[in-house]
Order: sequence, then C-alpha cells, then structure tokens
Amino acid sequence: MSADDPFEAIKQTFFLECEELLTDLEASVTALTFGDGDGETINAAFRAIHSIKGGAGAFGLEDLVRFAHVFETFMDELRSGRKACDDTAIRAMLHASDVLADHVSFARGLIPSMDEERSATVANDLRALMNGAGPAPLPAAAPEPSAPAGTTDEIEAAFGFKPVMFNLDALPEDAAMVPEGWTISFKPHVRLYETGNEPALLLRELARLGPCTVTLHAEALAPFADLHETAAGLSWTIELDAPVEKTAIQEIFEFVEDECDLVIAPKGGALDTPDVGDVDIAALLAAATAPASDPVVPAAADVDIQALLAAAQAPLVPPIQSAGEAPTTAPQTPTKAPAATAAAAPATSAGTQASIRVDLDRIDKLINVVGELVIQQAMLAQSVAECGLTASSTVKVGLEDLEQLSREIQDSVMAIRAQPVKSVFQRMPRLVREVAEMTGKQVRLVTEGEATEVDKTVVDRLAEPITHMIRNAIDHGLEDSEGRAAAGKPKEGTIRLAALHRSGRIVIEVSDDGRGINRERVRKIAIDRGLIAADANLTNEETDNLIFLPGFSTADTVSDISGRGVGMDVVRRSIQQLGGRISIASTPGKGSVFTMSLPLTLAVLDGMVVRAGGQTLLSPLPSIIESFTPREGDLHRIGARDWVIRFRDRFLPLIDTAKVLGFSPPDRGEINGKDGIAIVVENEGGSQVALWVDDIQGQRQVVIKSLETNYRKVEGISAATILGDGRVALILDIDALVVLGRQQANHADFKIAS
Amino acid sequence: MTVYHLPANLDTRTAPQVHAALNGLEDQPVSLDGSQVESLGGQCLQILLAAHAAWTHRNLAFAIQSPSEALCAQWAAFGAPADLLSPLGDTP
Repeated sequence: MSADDPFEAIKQTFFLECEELLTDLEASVTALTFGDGDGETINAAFRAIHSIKGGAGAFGLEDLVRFAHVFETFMDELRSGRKACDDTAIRAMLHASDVLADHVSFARGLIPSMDEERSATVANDLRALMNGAGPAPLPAAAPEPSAPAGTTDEIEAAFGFKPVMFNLDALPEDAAMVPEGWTISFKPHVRLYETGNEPALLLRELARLGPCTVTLHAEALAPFADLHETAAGLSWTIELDAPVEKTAIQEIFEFVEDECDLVIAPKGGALDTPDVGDVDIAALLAAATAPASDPVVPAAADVDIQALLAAAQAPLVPPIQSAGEAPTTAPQTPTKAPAATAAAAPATSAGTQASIRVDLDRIDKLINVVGELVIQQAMLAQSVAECGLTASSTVKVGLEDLEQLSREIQDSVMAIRAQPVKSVFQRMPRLVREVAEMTGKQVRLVTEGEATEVDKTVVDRLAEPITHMIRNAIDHGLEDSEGRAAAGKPKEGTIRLAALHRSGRIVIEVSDDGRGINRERVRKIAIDRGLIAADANLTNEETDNLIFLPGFSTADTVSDISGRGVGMDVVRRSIQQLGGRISIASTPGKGSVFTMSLPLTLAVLDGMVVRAGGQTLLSPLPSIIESFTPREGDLHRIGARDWVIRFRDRFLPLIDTAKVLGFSPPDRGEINGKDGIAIVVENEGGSQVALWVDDIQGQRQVVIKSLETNYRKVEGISAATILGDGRVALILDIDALVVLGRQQANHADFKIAS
Repeated sequence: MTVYHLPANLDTRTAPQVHAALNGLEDQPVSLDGSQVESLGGQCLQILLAAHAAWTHRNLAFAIQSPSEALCAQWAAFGAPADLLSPLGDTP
C-alpha cells in the first residue's frame, strides 16, 4: 500500500473507524448479554453496523456489505420490536458481530482468509430468525404494479437479502391526521447500488403499503456510450394511494436514506386544505422537508412556515404521470429540498467533531523532543547551580519557571498518548466466548476499570498477555459444569478482568472463581521436570509462582487453547519486557488472581539516582520500598557468599549491586556494612530483597532511552538515560538483578532452569 | 439480427456484463432474449433503457423478445415503458 495514495489513506481511516464502531457494537452486545440493554443499546448497535456497511459500500467491499446488510436488517427487526430480543437473538448477535469483525479484518488484510462458510451460516441463522419470528408478509394490497409472489422470492434470493416487513395493524385507529396518500420522489445515488441496495425491492415494499402508481424518469440517463455500468440516472415518482403513516414510508428507505434523494410529501390535496396554520399540518410539512434520516419532527415553533411551504410544494409542482405514459415526455423532478438537506447534514456532524486523528509517529517525535528538552533544561540548571548565583537572581527564578513549564509540557504530551485500556478489554468478550465454546464451559466475563488510562505503548502490548491469562484461566482455572456443580458453585464460571491505578503504575487483574492452583500437583511436576530439588522447602507463594517457569505445564491434556507449556512463561517474559511484573494469588477451591503491574508509560521514569562500583545507576522508584543506612551488626554472612540484612526485625537477602553487575574488580573487599546504603526493593513475586549501593544522590524523573536499540541487551539493566550533567546512567532492572544475584550465589535448592 | 440472451439475474452484479455485451454489438440491430430473466434491478434497467435510446437514435432495431413473466412484472413495477418489451416494438 502506498502512503501517497489518497484513496488508500481514506480507506485506512475507514478501517480505524470500523475498529471504533466494532468496539461500540461489542459494548452494546455485551450490555444486552448481561440484560443491561434497552432500546437505545439496540439502536447503538444498529448504527454501528449501518455505518460500517455504508463505508464498506464506498470501498466496494461487497462481502462485507452483504453480511452487514443482513445483520443490520436483523437489528432493525429487534429495534422495531417486531422480533423479541431474547437469548436466541442475542446469541445470533454475538456470532454475527464476530463474523462482522472477521469481515473487516479480512478486508483490511489482517487475516489471510475469510471463513465464508461460517459467514454464510451465521447470515442464514439471522435470516431464519427474522423469518421465523416476524409477522408473515402481508398480502400485497396493491395489485397493479406488484410482482407475482413467486418472483418476489426469486428476486429476494437473487439479491441476497430479505425486505423489511411492516405491520399495518400497528396503524392508529384515528387516521384523521394521516393524509389519504403520499407522493414520493426517489432518486438513487450511485452509492445506493454500490452498497448492495436495490430500487426494485424498495418499490415493492412501497407497493405493499397500498396501491402505487410508479412513474419512471429516465431523462437524466447518460447516453449509452457514456453510461458507466454503475451510474445512477434513473429516478422515480411514486404515488401511494393509502392512508399510511409517514414513518411507514420512511422505514422502507431507512437503509438508503443517505444514498438517495428522497422527498415524501402528502398527496396534492393536502396542500389545498385551508387550515395551513394548524400546528399539525405545519409539523407534517416540516416532516416532509426534513431528511428521511430524521424521524423526529422538528418543533413547529422552530421552523419558518413560509420556507417550509415553499420547500414542500417543490416536489409537487411537476405533473404526476401515470405508469402508462412514455417517460421521455415526463418533466424532470429534481427538487431543491433534498439537495439542501443533504448539504446541511454533514455540516452538523462536523460541528460535533471534538477530536482529531494524529499519526503516532508525530507524537513520538514530539515526545522525543520534549525528552531532549527536559535533559537540556536539567543540564542548564546544573551549569547555573555551578555558577554560584544567589537564589533570588533573575536567572535562577527564570530557570525555575522554565523547569515548571517543561514539566507541564512533558505531562501534557504524555497525556496525549494516554489511552483507556478499553480498546484492549473490548476484544476479550469474543475471546472468552470462543474459548468457552471450545472447552464446553459456561463463562461470564466481568470487566472493571475500562476507563483506566495508560500510555499508548503499553496499551498496544497489553493484549497479548491478557489474552494468554484469560485463556489459561478458562482452560485451567475454571472447572467444567459437573465439577462446578459438585463444588456447589453456580454453573457459569466468572472471569473478572479489572484495571486500576496503584502508586503510579497500572494494575491489571485477571481472576477466576475456579478450582485454584493444585499446589501438590504443581510441586510434583516441578520436581519431575527438575525445576526444583525434591526436598525443597517452598512457601505457597513460591509454589504458585513455579507455573511461570519455562517449560512448565500443568494441563493433563495439551489443548489447542493453552497448555503447551509455554503459556505463563511467555506471559511473564512479555510483561517483564514492559517493565512490569506479574504475581499470582490462589486459594484452593476458590480460584486464582493473576495480578500484573505495569509502568504507566515506557517513555519516562521516576527513579532514584544511586552509585555503585563508581557507576551512576538509576533504580526505578516504584519498586523501592525503603532505603536506610544499616547499623553495624545488621549484616550477616550466610555460607561462603551470601549476605542477609536485618530490616524491621526480618532478614532480607542482600545483593551487592556492583558485584552482580560486574562493576567492581573481583579482588574488591566484601561488603563491610559501613560504606554503603541498603535499598529495599520488591520483586515481581512481592518478596523483598535489599540492594547494596555506595550512596544515594537523589530522586528525579528521567527520559528512558533504549539500550537495546542503541547498544545491546545488558543483563540486569533495563534501559539507560541521560542525566543533567550529560552523562549516561543505566536503569536497573530489579527483577533481573535479583535473579542474577541468585544465580551468582548458586543457590542450592532453587535452581532456575533458564 | 444478433440475439443476445439476457442473464437470469439482471442485478447490480451482472450490470457490467450486460453493458459490455451490448457495447460490443453497437453497430447492428439487436434482439434481446428475455425468456430466462428471473429478476431485474435498477442498474440493468437503466442500461437497457439507455441502449434502447442509443439504438433507436441510430435507426437500428432494438427489442426485448419473449420476456419472461418475472421480467414483465418487474418492468411494470419500475414504471418502465411497456412498449419496449413488446416484440413489435423493435422498429422505431
């Protein structure tokens, strides 16, 4: 795809919109699943499908249009109440929204092939539901132009969709306000054909309302030689001789209201009625001039009656012909009213637009520049400090203001990239459905904290670990129906997916109400695989965390869903790469909670500047619990190499940072407990260790620069930054450092397989 | 006179095909066989109407012969000129 191709660019925008629309659709369907939906929810779903269909038509995505049309028609049945929104209907909607998403993904080239069979099956299901539950087609009240019954079916089959049925019984008894007939002027645009719609069907639907006299206008038709095969030159005037409500006519054109010029006006006589001043008539006229898309009749008080009358009269000026007359002599009936309303519609929608789309690259560039600005400003501040100016000097005051401003810029830029995790969470209901179907379990997904915001870079990389954890929770965590019944639990298992902010990090929790971790089995497998020694003494927490070890699988049978022994290992690694950590809390018989905590951004970091082995290092602030200068006697040596430190009446393992990272010469003396500071940090499992450093220099926010991109991966180091004095400081990867420390200590009974 | 058999489904999808076929017969009298037609859509209708006008303009015969019942019914439903369907309507 070429970035220069404007058509391709518009198409990409369409796909972005599709993504949002599918998200809306998913939200609506999910709400309906939980019984939270009302008429507006169904309307929202309908609108989402309608918009996707409209856009797809413009890009000639025929399969997508065809499927969306069926789905849309189905939603319309629900919306109008002709079909009850029961469990069967909701299940059909769930399947249909999945297939619709697949169609979009396929059109976008994200998936290599489209499961046509499934699409056809789901479409047929929708049709079957509509036919089964809807009222039987009304006997054609208009004998003259209507087609024989057999042909109706054939044409419906040929065009691949069913017309919408109308219930004439729903007409009000009191028809005093309903005119005796209507004059409908209808001119399809090219898009009407492109979106798979067909005037033939619309005309037939009109004929069902009552006797119609259809006049064809072919004057605007291009000469045959110039006639593009998808041109739209024909238009029709239909005189409907039936006292039906206007909405019945509008409903017929509902699907195509944006793709045609349409004027529906009461039949000629209505205008001659003397009581024009009557509010009802005025409202009726207002409705006649309003675009068909607007079912709400504007308040009579708000409209200029004179202007409305003029507009409403316009379509009635040309003489109406009978069907038998030659069309070539028919005067043209283009009316100004529809053109004006069509032009007005986009203007209103543009007015409500409150956001713009910006290429992510541009924001990244901005963030990079702001990062440089912050560094430069820190360097300047340091130089000024070295000049020994007084605190009241204008330079210093100005610099402080500058500092505040640059901090503000930085925060604002980060806020631009902040996105709610909703986009990721919304993909999960479908996953849950599919996995539940595959495993034959009944699962209900509950999500919380969808509005929690996190940096775009983090959002993008959340989907994979969450997907994995949910699969695991359903496949391994939840019992099957019999198992749940035996345990006295409701048949339907619950998976809870929650996001929240906690101390400057985002925490994602995936919990299930399943059987919990079988520690006996986990322990046995770990011993069998040689991951731990047979006599290792592990806490419950340590045992639970064994499932994160590479090559560990607890499933008795390897399923397609999860359990190839790569699952949780991969999850942990991808979370660690994001600077996050994952832990598990499990209660046998009650379920498990997986908690992952991630930094809010991957661009800046609050850290503690420390020195170890003569090097300046940065320890991420969120992992630091406390720092203190130990008293003599707080340090104890265990065995030949290991040290522990007393901290609040407990002993914590002590890691010599300089030594583990290889900064200190091997002949350097041992930790002596005098020239140094201990920093207590928490690792991914929630257990604490102390890091031994030479001294602490201060706390500051730094801009993260990738070490891997610029140099290579360094064990125990997550990234680098540039300090105010222009020097590079390495950012510690606490978890990796702890593991490294353990490896070097060659711990006897807790070998790490990797 | 060349006889062109109209496809069974004269919908939006077959419109390009019909247009191309007629385009290829532009300088000769044409008779369209409508006996197989099962459905007729707006796109094909306008191609047929435009073609009729073009052929008539060149004083060439253009007629739709033996239209099927379905074709006649849909033709009428569109309010299209009935004489075009009649076998006698082939001469201007």
